Parts: sequence; C-alpha cells; structure tokens
Amino acid sequence: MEISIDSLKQNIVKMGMLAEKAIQLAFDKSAKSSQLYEIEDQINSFHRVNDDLCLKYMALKHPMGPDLRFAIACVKINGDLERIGDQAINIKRALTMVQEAKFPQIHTMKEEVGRMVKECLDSFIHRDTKMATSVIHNDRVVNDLQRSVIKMFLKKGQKEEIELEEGFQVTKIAKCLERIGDLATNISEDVIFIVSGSDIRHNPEIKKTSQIDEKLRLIQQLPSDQNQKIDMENITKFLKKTTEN
Amino acid sequence: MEEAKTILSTKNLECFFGDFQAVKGISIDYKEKSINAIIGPSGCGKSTYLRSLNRIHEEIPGAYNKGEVNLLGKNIYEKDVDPVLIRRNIGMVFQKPNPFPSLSIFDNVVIGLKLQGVKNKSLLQEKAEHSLRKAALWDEVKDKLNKPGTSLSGGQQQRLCIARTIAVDPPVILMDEPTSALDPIATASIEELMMELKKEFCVIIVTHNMQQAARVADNTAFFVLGELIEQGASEQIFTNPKQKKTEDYITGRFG
Ligand SMILES: Nc1ncnc2c1ncn2[C@@H]1O[C@H](COP(=O)(O)OP(=O)(O)OP(=O)(O)O)[C@@H](O)[C@H]1O
Ligand SMILES: [Mg+2]
Repeated sequence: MEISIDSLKQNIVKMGMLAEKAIQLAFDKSAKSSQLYEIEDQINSFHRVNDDLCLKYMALKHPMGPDLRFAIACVKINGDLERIGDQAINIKRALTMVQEAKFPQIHTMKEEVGRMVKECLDSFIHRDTKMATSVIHNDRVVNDLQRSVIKMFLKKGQKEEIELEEGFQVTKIAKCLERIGDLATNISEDVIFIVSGSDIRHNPEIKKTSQIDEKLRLIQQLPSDQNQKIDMENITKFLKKTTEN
Repeated sequence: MEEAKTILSTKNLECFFGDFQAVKGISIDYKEKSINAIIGPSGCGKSTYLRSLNRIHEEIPGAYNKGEVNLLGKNIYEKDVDPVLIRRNIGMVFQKPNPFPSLSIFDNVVIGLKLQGVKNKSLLQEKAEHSLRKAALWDEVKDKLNKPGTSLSGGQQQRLCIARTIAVDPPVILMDEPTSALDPIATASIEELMMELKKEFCVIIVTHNMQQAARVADNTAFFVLGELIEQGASEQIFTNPKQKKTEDYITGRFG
C-alpha cells in the first residue's frame, strides 16, 4: 500500500463505513451475530493496518504542519472507530434481552447517534468544520437522552412495571450509545484540529448553542412526569428539523 | 520569567545586487540566547540577508544595502561604523568548511584574536582550548594542534570553523547551511553544539533541512522571493502555520 495521506484517508473512511454498518447490524434483529462479528473483524484489521500506516507515514515522510496534524488525528480517529465497533457488539448482546419497541428513547438515541457517526465521517471526508461542530453540539442531546433512560428505568423499576434484567440491559444499551456519541464527538474534534489546528476539547463553551438548549428542554420533559404521555413523534420531528438547518 | 533581550534586529533591511533587489524590507528581532532559522526556496535571498547582518554582502562589487541592522541598539550601517570590526565580531560559518589552508589547527582558532592584537601566548592557548572544547573538537585535535586545519575531516573542519567563530566571543553567530555537506552523525554533533552555543550566543542559521530548523530553532522565518512571508515560534510554524504559502512549503507542496 502506498504510504500517503490519501491511502490513510481512504482507509479511515472505509473503516468508518464499517463502523456505521456495525451499528446498523447491532439493531437489526434479522441480522445474525456472526454477521456483526465479521464486520468487527474487518474493523480490527483496519485498526492495526491504519496505526502501522500512520507510523510509517510519520517515520518516512516527516510530515509537517497540516499533514502532521492529519496523521496524528488519524491515529486517534482510528482508535475511536475501533471502539465504536466494540460498542456495537455490546449493544447486540444486550438487545437480545430487550423488547426495543417498549423503549422509544432507545430508538431516538439510535437515530441521533447514528447520524452523529455519519456526520463526523462526512465532516472528515469534506473537511467540514461546520458539520463537525454540529456533531459536537449534539453530544449533550445524547447525554441527556441517556439520563432520561436511566430515570425511566428507576421510575418503572420502583413501580415494578419493568423486569429488572430488561431494564438493566436497556440502560446498558443507552450507555453504549452514549459512548458512541462521545466517540463521534472526539472524531469531530479531531476534524476541527486537522482543518484549523485548534484544540477545542474540554471546552464547555463550544458545546453551547441556543438550538441545542431548546432540544434539551424537550428531552428533559421526557421522563419527568409519569402521567404525561411522551410525544416522541413530535420530538423526533423537532430533532429532524433542527438538524436539517 | 524575564523577557529575553533583543540583541540584533533588522528594520526594513533591503539588499541589492546593482539594480536587482534580492531582499525586500525585512524586519525581524533576534533575542539573546536563541537559535533562529531562516528557511525558504533556493534563491529567495536567505544567504544575501544573512551576509548583510555582518556587512559582507557589500563586499561584492555593486552590492549594497538599505535599512537598518541594529546590534545592541546600534545601527551597524551608520557611517562611523568600521565594517571590518563588524565582520570580525559577528562570526559566520559557511556551508563548506573553510579553514585557512596555510594555518595550523591552533592558528585557525585564534586568528581572529591575533588580528585583534592579542599577543599573550598563554591567553591564546587558553582561548584556543576553550573554543575547541565548546566546539566539541578538543579531544579529537588536542594532540595535533600544529597540523594544518585542512587535515581534518569535513565535520571536524566545520567544528573548527565554529571554534574560530566563537573564539572572539561574538554576540551573534551566523551559519549558512552549516551541515548540508555533513553526514547525519556530524550533523547531529553540530546541532548539539548549536544548542550548547545558544546558552551564550544568539545563533542565526539558514537551512534547507526543515527537520533541522524544527529540531534546533526557537524561531523560524520563512522567505519567498526576498520577502518575509511568516515568522514565529518554530513550534507554531511547523505545526500550524498561518500563511498558506508557509503551509505549502513545509508540506512540500510549494510551486
Ligand atoms: N553575486 C550575485 N550577483 C547578482 N545576483 C546575485 C548574486 N548572488 C545572488 N544573487 C541573486 O540574489 C538572489 C538571492 O540569492 P541568495 O544566494 O541569497 O539565495 P538563497 O536563498 O541563499 O538560495 P540558496 O538556498 O540556493 O542558497 C537570487 O536571485 C540570486 O540569483
Ligand atoms: Mg544560500
């Protein structure tokens, strides 16, 4: 394989597509576990190949400036994509004990996180910092969705409206999805580092926007009132609308 | 931390070869105890600029300068300044080692002091040893100080030239591609030496080796066609240059 920025970029994109596929298979009841394991295998081999490629690229080409930033970011993105694969496997295992239809938040989380992964990869391909920034903003949405799943579990658990085992697995899935959201956020931060050279990690200010605040307000309403019927459809519509802008 | 003192600065320095202007209005401050790299494509005026910092550019027939070079606050291009004194005090190391072929290793080192009128034998001895030790050459030559300077290897000759340069305690040392003719080991030892020299002197080095600039220089300036495109901490220039031209150059996409 040619030792170049181009092959590195191509490999990361291919690996990213596999990670997306892994998430999709994790939620696809008709897909066999073995299919997912196969994808996971391919992701793992990209993991090794890409690190090796980065090492050789840096050792042989002595990249400077943006090329150096790109290579360093690729090492990190490579690790993040590999862990997305791991999380997909965890989700698949947990889902065997859960009736997904009973937990609309999981569905919303899956949609949100799936889109974050897709968009962080698109932002990587197109060096699109605006898109990367919108992924980073969405991290809080996913965090709040996870919290709402836990609250719901506690409430339903107290009222014995839910099997302990099933509830536990649902929170686990939410945790995995939240982790994937984090990883997509990390990748987006790396994209911004590649393009602009600025390190925006651990900066809470960056994550604040009014649009997201409105989204969060809606999500916070989800579990707060047991009697209030959750209008998921409405929220999903809203989420769609805000992301289209 | 104490703010480092500016020891040398150029202000709108221009360099001409007759009608041709090779360097166009360059202003840079150089701090004491620092290494400063100048990089840029071939023919962009690096050597010409460097040679104007100790007034050897004007030695070429038809060549002259405009603007200021301030050494410790004094413009060396003022009428009352003797260029010979400047050349003697701002040492220069060239791409090709150039020891005086007729002189011994010892005399090569102390020639500057002798020209300054120093006659005291033991002082010359002391200075020679001190400079050769500083240039990391003492152990290799201490038993053959009377041999000709040209009997040494290329890397040793280059260190001899550095010893010659530092013997007069110059405030500033200029180096024009000092390692381009050396193998990686000799290069590494010269770079180590630069780090050592930086503890006392201000070093200004022209280099085509970007890794070298990144390794040793605190600051880097990038020239194109006689103009200063960008200057700053090497850390910044090599990781996050502000100018597109700099970015293209350091990533090898220039042209
Ligand atoms: N003696 C001279 N007479 C006329 N023009 C000259 C002379 N020496 C250099 N030049 C011109 O001045 C410009 C700057 O030359 P200089 O030697 O300073 O470049 P440089 O940046 O040191 O290049 P390199 O990296 O190849 O050493 C060039 O266009 C060159 O052709
Ligand atoms: Mg030159």
